[in-house]
Amino acid sequence: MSQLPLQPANSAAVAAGPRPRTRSQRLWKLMRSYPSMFIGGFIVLVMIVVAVFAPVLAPHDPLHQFDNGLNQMGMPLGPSHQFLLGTDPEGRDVLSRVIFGARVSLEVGVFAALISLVIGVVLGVVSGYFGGWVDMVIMRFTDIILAFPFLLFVIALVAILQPSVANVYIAIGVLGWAQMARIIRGQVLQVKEFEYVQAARAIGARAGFIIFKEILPNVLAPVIVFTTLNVGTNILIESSLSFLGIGVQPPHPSWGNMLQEGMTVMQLAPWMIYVPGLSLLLAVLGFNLLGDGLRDWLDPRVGK
Amino acid sequence: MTEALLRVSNLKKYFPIKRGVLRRTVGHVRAVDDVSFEVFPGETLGIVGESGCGKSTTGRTLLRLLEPTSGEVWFKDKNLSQLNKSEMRAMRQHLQIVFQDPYSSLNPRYKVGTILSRPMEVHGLYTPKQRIQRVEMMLERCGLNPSAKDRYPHQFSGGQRQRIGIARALTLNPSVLVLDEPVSALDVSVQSQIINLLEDLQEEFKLTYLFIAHDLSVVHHISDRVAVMYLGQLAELATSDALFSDPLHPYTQALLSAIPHPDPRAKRERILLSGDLPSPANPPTGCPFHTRCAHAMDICRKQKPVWREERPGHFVACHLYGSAVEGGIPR
Amino acid sequence: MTLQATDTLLNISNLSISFKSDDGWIRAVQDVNLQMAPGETVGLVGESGCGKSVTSLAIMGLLPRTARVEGEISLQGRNLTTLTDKELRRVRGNDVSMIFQEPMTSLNPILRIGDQIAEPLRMHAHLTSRQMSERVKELLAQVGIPNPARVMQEYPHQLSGGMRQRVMIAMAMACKPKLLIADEPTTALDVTVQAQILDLLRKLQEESGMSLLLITHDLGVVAEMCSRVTVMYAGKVVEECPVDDLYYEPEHPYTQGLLGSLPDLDKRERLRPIPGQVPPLWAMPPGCRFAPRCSRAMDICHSTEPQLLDVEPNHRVSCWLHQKGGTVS
Repeated sequence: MSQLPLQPANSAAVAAGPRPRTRSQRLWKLMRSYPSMFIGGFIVLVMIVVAVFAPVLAPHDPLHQFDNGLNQMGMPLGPSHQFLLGTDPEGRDVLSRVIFGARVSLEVGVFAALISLVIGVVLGVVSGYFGGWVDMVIMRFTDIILAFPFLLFVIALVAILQPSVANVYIAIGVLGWAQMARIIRGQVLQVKEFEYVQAARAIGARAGFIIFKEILPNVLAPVIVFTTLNVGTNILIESSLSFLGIGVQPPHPSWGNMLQEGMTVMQLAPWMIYVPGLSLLLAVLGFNLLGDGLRDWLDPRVGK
Repeated sequence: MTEALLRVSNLKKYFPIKRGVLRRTVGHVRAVDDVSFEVFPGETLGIVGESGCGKSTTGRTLLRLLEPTSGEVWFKDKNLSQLNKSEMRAMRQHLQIVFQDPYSSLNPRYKVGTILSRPMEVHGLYTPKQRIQRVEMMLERCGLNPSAKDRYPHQFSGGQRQRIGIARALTLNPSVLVLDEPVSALDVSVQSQIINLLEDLQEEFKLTYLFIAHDLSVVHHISDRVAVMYLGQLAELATSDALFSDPLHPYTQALLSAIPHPDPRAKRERILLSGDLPSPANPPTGCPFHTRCAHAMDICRKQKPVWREERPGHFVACHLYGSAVEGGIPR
Repeated sequence: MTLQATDTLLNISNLSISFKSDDGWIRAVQDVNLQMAPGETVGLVGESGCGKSVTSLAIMGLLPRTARVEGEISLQGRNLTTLTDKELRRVRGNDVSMIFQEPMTSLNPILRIGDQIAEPLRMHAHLTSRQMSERVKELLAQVGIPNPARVMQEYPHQLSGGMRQRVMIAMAMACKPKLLIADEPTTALDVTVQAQILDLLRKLQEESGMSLLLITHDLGVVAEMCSRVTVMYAGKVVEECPVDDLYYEPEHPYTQGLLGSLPDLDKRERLRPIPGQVPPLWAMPPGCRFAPRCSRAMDICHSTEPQLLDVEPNHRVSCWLHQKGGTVS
């Protein structure tokens, strides 16, 4: 259809919008319109609380090998009053390890995403705003990064840097900006054509001023959305690395190396798989729901 | 006659057409092709033409929002095309622009007050306190309540936003204002409000306008002189009254006859142009209008007509005038 | 109201259209009445948001399902508002067609011109593919497209704006409609192209005897094309009259204001704009909707809505200046 049937937009009709309501009414409407944003946000919030207060919340030291943590046959214990989610083959408390694992996951997920964000935004903005050969070089470089199998690339880089929590997020972050750069470049190309950017040039503003004051605030929405989704992806990658033994090194807990350890005793102690596995699923789901919800909310073209 | 405030000479803006993997330039769109005119202090020069004729590109190129391919633009005794980047930025204080689209010309993220004080901030003019006063004054001059400064652009209607756009351009106290289709996105009743406002502001601030539009009756109303563009070139330039009462160029004649007259009893002879606008990437040889001109002669196909002053102050680029043919078009 | 089918093609009576918003129903159009005789050209004039486009979409049955339509729209005595979707589809394109402002977005970018025009024929007529292609060629020639055989093979982006509008008109004419609704058909076009398109519409109308409902904000176009005009403001009809009256004896202050807003080509006088702006749909003033902007508003205008009443034969105005309770000036 060529035209929206109801088009108050052209004249006064847009001014102010319908009557304002109370804050709680607005919040309720927002929750009803974007439930995934709130469900995702809730999961993410829980995860953050757990990670931050891990030392308080964890019933035991995640590294402590309990003398009574294994049965007579040297096998891990099932859930009990002392060990709510059982123990692992080293006699350590699984619940405490999962709680501290959330810390690692969040740390890697968020820091890696922030590194990607900075690199991606800088390259994307420079590429989109200046265009020409700068754009050409940056975009070809981006293409090359995207052409490599990401996980292999990260593994190689971590191997060079020595496995550690910091090196894992550096590796993921430094290699994971390509999508972000592309998205930002596209956004900048679009925003650049708006007349308010032309107007800023016409008043004699410098490129830096235009980028920071006029363009960046208007590409913020996709940056936020993509970064949120990226955290979820990064958590998954960290787990994969740790599962493969090149991420967080034992005895320090991570959902990935817990899964790895659980694999060996899967038949006898299934909780060893379920607990970190479900945590991982929930965490990634949470960030994805939040990211998708934010996209619908911030971008009026999608959703309502 | 007074000294021209703005002198545009042989201005050209070609956009490269790029094709293929290597983005090789395979041709050029001649958006503005050798345009020269002068604008005198305090006057309104209208530029009319149909879409794609290069009128907007002319406005933006002379402000160097687009870099000209060649040609010169003189503002008083400064050659704008020779200025380096920082000199040009400083010069922008004197030459401002108002855009067509009142929706995309204001950054949705900022309050009106911020948008209006930006230009002064960029040029380091006034103290922050004075800036606020100036913003309030400009809003008031442009027919808005000074409290508008604390609201966001989306809270205003199209006409109000256009007023904000005008106020922004005026905060720097410019002498030349390029008005790029400033009223074409507005409803008739609001359009007339803005036209009157522009007239008042011109008088109050001694502004010189370059009024770019496709609506002929609006251009006629507001302009002292009018230039007609076709395919990147000037076809005719004269005082508004002379151009509308006695158009010389066959294109101008066709254009004027096509205006729907808000008077059901007015019977007008209409010159219907046949065919479509040729592509500016591949303009016709000779006179650009010859493919659609009822009076086209052999010479029109071969030779580009010269820009000549057929009558005092009435310029035209057409082979029907001057030495080629005696008299004008039988009308 | 009783009507003979012979002298009325379209009869809209007491049409109101509302849309649901977060705060309840918002009425975009209220109590619109409009009659059209066969072969007649009627202009529906007003500024953006006045409800003219919504009215035309209602005639076509193209409003979203969520819209609430009250009143009656009858075409040749048949009430369109009560038809099922299937029946409406048969009416649409067959008895009534519509063309829009933006011919680029109204055409499907990935279909060839020939196939697009064949679309309505396929739905409403039973032709062999050979007959079909002949008919398409004929239609393209009829709307003044040079070289129809070549254009049939082209895609919309290969045509100019004027050519695309011609293609839209060809599609609309495919099933020889009795009523063509043209919603701002020339607004996106340049004046010289506009002149061509208006010329074409007039020619087609003479040939086919169809009625034309021309929706526009351009009073110049109305003067040139229409015999009668209906002026809308903020969802209501404010004046309805023969076209000459509109320009020479406009009665409603809004109509007068619109005319005063137009620059005159013959003399350069200061424009006389209407102050203020159109009120938003959710904050309509009580009484006459134009009252807050009207220089001649009286007390009653702010409290009670005026009726659309005859001031002369064929000339109806909704204004207290012309009704009991107000002083006639």
